[in-house]
Amino acid sequence: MIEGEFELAPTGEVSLVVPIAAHVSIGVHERNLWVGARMLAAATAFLFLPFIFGYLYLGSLNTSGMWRPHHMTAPIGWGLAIVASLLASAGLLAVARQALAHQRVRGAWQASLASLVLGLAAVVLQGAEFEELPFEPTDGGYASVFIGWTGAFALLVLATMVWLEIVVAGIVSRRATPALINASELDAVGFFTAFVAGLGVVTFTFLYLL
Amino acid sequence: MTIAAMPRRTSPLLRRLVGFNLITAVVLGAIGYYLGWWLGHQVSVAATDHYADTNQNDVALFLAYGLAVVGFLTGLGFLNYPVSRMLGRPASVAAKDEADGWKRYVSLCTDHKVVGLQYLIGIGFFLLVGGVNAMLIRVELLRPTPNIWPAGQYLTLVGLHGSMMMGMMTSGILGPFANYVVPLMIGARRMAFPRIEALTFWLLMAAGVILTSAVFYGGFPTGWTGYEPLADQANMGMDSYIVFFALVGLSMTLLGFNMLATVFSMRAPGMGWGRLPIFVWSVVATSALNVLAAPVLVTTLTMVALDRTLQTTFFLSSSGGSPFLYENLFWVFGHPEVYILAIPGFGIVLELLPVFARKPLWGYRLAVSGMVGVALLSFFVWQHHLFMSGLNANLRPFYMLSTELISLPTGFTFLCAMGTVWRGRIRYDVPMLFCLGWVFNFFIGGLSGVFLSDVPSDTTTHGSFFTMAHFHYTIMGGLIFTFFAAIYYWLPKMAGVQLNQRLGKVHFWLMFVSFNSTFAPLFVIGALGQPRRVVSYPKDLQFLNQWVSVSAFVLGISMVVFLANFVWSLVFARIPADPNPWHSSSLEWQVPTPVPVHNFDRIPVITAELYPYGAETTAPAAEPLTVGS
Amino acid sequence: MSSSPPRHGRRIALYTIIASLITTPLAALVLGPHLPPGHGSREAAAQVTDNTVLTVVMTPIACLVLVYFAYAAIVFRQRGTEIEEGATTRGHAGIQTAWIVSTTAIVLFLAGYGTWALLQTGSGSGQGPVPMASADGAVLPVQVIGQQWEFTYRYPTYGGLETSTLVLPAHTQVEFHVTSLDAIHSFWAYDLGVKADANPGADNVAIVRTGDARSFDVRCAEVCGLWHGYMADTGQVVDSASFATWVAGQRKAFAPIAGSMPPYRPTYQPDPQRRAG
Repeated sequence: MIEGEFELAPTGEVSLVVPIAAHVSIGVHERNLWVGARMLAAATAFLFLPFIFGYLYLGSLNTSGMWRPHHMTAPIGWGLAIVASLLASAGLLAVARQALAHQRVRGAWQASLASLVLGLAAVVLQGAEFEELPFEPTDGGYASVFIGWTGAFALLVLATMVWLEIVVAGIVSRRATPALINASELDAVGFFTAFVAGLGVVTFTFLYLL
Repeated sequence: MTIAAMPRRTSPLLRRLVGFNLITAVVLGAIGYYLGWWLGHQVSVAATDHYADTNQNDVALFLAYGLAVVGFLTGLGFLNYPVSRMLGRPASVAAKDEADGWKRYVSLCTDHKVVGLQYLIGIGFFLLVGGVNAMLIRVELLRPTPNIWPAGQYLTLVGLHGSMMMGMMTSGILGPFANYVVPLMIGARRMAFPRIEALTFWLLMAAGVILTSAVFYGGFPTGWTGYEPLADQANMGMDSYIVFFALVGLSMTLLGFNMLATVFSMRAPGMGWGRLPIFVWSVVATSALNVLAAPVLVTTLTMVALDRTLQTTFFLSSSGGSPFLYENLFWVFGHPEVYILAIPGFGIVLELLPVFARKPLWGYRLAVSGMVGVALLSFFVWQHHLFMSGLNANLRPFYMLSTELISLPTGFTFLCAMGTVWRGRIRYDVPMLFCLGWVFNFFIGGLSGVFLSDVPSDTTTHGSFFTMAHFHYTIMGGLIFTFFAAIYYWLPKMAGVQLNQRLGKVHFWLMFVSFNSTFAPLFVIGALGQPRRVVSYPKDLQFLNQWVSVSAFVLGISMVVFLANFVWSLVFARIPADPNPWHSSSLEWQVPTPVPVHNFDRIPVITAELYPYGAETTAPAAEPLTVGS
Repeated sequence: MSSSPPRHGRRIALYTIIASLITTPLAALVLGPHLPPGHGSREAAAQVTDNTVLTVVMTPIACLVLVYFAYAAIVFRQRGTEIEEGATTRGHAGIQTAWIVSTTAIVLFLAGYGTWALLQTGSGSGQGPVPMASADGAVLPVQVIGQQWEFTYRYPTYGGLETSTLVLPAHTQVEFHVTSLDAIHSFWAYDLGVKADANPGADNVAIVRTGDARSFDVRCAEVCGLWHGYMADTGQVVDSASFATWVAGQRKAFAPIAGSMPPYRPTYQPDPQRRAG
């Protein structure tokens, strides 16, 4: 798997101010992004594991009868809107990846830009939902898990969208010279956004449906 | 457009100071701190009615620490690249000019060799701080009644020592040595994500400063484990602990992430998984734990922070939460963490024994499976920390079994070490002495662990000085001894100078004897009934405690011997080191000293087996090696 | 070095066997009775036995590894400054298999033995609200309440009597119910071989059979804040007549405040718990 993909760097003296990227063959860069996106997803899964564990654990203990007094529920409409915009965002990004794979740069940047807007919309919707919540952080186990989990998740979506913005900016600024566009970046962020959307479905299932 | 294209000119002092460097970082960090503090008071005075009563504003402190870290990283220049990318500019970052060599060490530098040395100095400094804390603890314990520290300050010292060692030293081997030598060992020019690599270092430094700042906020009473609900009552120093450990968790995650990506995708041609040096394998196993376990810590501490600020009730049993949730989550992270501390030590010992015994590594596959096995099993043993807690008591036979099973893969490391020295030609250079020190210490640590893993025996030993002695044997006797082995072994390559070997031997023997003299009696003290983290103890234990304290001071002196050697050899004597003083066949010793910025002019092609020592084979590991032309 | 290779192995085996034959009986007979808890306390005799078994199992292993490395360090050392190469051995399937099989056997034995020992009496450990190893016959329930920074004790069978000293009757099964009002504490009756965490909102049961009259040390074994280091106590085991007298005296003293005490419960929830601000 390794052999062949390494390119020997130019011989002669190594200039100290040449951008580092020039010393690395494209194959390595692409593989780094591929591996990196998947490991990032693994780390993120473990980042949210404590919330899932906390939900199940505190729910089963129900200390002082304060897990979910009066069976409080979060407004499901907001939850649906958030998870729908995330799924749409991930879907549009898949479309963008397809477009770029078929050299349709215009379609790629338009779809990824729309994906970015939808992802940011999810963050805004989450902020708005916090204003509308029918419970306070002090209202027991479920309220705590809900606020911690959704808050952390909104931050995760925001961070993902910053990454996506970087990739979109790269595509937009090079749309005149498609050869310079690095498809592996869009693939990596596309994979991770899909993962985040999946995590959003898990979040929705636990916090709104169960 | 690169920096080199600009005309160079000598600039006045002010121009040199302004720019993205450590000074700017500290200034912006301070500004961020005060901005956060001010902001926190604006936000929370209105929101919390009891603020006026307690004069405790955790929101302000969290915001202050948060913005201070953001300011610090901005000042170092970490935002330059993402912001420029967000504006759609091309992805190029110029390496720093080598003419300003020393400046690279006090600024954001993406050269893995610079980061390695930064880590060595930075981690070494905080190791020293943690060690001084230990000395202060032992001064207190000279007497069974309060001696010099009031109870609260004593607990803070215990917490600072524990957190510093368990937090900062998680990167004790991976930070300085893996960053430096892994790319060289696998024949790569750099790390997979050099900016992330630099970020892990500076995050860790910010974390260390933040933990130390706990003393200005009344300290914290919980020790390094930060158990709830004590952490919920504690004063503002607790916030320092929380931010510290969350940053450490972030740094650990990114460090492991970068290491794994590097080993996955940047190995030289021919460097298959079966040919990876065993040290790299230990880095892989450790990094996997970093990536998976450390995020759990970050989230857990976020929950604690939410409990202390937004008044959520994750850990309050009177309001739908549970302290057991914290104990579970902390040890889901915490037990893999102690193997994050231990596995790199396995790697160093098995990497160095072949060099100094002049033999191939014995049982390579067994050694690899040992490390991977330890890493896997470490996720399934965490409740042995809770044997007495009343939590899931009926599951204890399972955790007893899984814990004792870990001694199987750990035993593989011992068997491989035993096989490797068999009929060798052992040379007792200083790194080898420290490796053999590891063998003895970790063996004692492992045997004492059997008592702790056995519930009936754990009834006495749990939470006592016995436990404390056990994990000092495995962590100090394991990690710190191999840390020094690695310094003596790799510093000739990293710094280009040789440490004084005679002083090194003095350091080793002083440290080895005083270490055992310090921690062996602690097994007895614990078995005689002294719990951990107490400022007063029964009078009949005073003699043993004084013995331990005096031994600990000698242990401290051995560190002074090392420091003197380090400073003397690096700053004053500066005797240039041989490019390969240990006659190692490993790749990192085949490049010239100092190592060129991009390591290899040509990526080496690996054609032969690793560890080609021994009477019958003498071929080098890589062919053709055209480095250092 | 010109000695033929197999001799090393035989010598190491011989030294190991000699060392084991000397040290193992010493560990069992001389060290054993002094092993914790409580200088070989009779109340925790099962735990002393357990510790002795562990020590005896590990002594020969320690002999093997230490003898091996000492032998290797001396015999296989490099003499002179020349760099000579060692033997080229990269592994040995038989030795590796033997090692894996034998360490697995030892581990399984230790885990099995530990489980068996645990199931007998619970080994004085905190067993959660529903103990896996429960006491047979009559038991005296005693509640231990940890709070910052002292232990108090309630006797539910004596009208929920609460005292600040722990007194137990001799030759009785005692069932400690350990809980806390604030932070996590750990109730450690050192000489009785009892340790159980005191968790707020949770009941943690530990069982011990008292022996003859004696005093024993009680300490908090989980860091619980400022005065953790002072959270220590001395308990008494007294004969049953003295115990009856003591209880009667305590009940008399307790009577005036009995009405204002909360009724006996497995756990208590003081409200509000102190929070950080």
